[in-house]
Amino acid sequence: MAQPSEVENKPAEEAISKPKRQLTRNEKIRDFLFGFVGWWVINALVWFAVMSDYVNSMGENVLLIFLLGIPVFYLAQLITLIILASRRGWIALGIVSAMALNLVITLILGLTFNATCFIPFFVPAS
Amino acid sequence: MSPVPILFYVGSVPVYSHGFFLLFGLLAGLGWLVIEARRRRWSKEEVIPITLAAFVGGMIGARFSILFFNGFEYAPLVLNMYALFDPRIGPGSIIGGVVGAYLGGYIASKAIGKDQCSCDAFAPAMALATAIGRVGCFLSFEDGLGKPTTLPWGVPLPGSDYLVHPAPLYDMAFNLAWFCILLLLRDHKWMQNGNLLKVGIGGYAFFRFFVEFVRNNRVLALGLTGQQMASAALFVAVVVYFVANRRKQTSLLPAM
Repeated sequence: MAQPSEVENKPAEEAISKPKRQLTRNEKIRDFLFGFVGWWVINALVWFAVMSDYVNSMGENVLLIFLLGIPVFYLAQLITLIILASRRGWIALGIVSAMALNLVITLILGLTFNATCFIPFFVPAS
Repeated sequence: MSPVPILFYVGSVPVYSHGFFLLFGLLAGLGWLVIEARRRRWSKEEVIPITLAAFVGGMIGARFSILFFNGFEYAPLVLNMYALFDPRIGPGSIIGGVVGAYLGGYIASKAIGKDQCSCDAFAPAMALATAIGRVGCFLSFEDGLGKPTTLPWGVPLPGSDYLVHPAPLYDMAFNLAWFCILLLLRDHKWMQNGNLLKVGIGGYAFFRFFVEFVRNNRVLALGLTGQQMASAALFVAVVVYFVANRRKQTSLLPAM
């Protein structure tokens, strides 16, 4: 007999894997890991590409293209995430989890930096 | 009174007050969210994706809003996703964070196919997190605290011969009071299905509009800061929502 909590959770589980048929447990884990690991791999590659000495040594024009590409890449990631959320929910959850983990690490590291909210430490009052 | 940017040391590593209370506030908010979610029997299959999306959306929104509030010269930082994970850069604006969190949570809710909103659990959690986070803003004297004042509770600003409004403490006091009010309202029949969250956001936006008059944020137009414009827009949006959905809300109420 199903536990009450399982019965309550079932609609949400079905909904999170929105595609037509119910995903198996293994498929959910595979999708989640695909999103989670994929986000790290893709962003690590892009980040290292932008930061690499090779790109930096290729001249201002190439560097500019890379730097202009970052906002476009950022926007593309957000749009992809939103699309995936409605079509492949577990991949989207993996991506969001990867971003959230990164942000948590940032917040913990932020304990050791005097980073206030984009505002100089002292603003002379007028 | 002088600023306390460094709260304590762990070995030789300084722990800064702003970062400490930001993290502490977020953890307290998360803790309260868990309590509320349990109380509302909100399943973890819904809480986890919505909370993660709200967290990420909030952090992105807080950063993006800086572009509007502080000017386009911040674009290289704001539009660079990797700067989002740079601990040397502050998180951004709470108003932008609230909007981003709402959008993130909303998208996640729709993605998991929720027809009714359980997001009211976020309302008191947000107020509590903001109240705690503001302690760090005060201790670090962020934003120069506020505009000059002659009021008895004015705080001396180091390097100046005048007192200033302790604006972060106003924010903290309001959010503590608002947290208590939201707790009192949370079981009211009108405050279900997302209404408590909307009231929570609308109430903070209303307060923030006025407290901005004693803060040092950049004036954009008509003597108003970007934060004031955003707060006014949020407040109006909430009011319009309630007016437009007045009949629908009434019909959704259980028969007495």
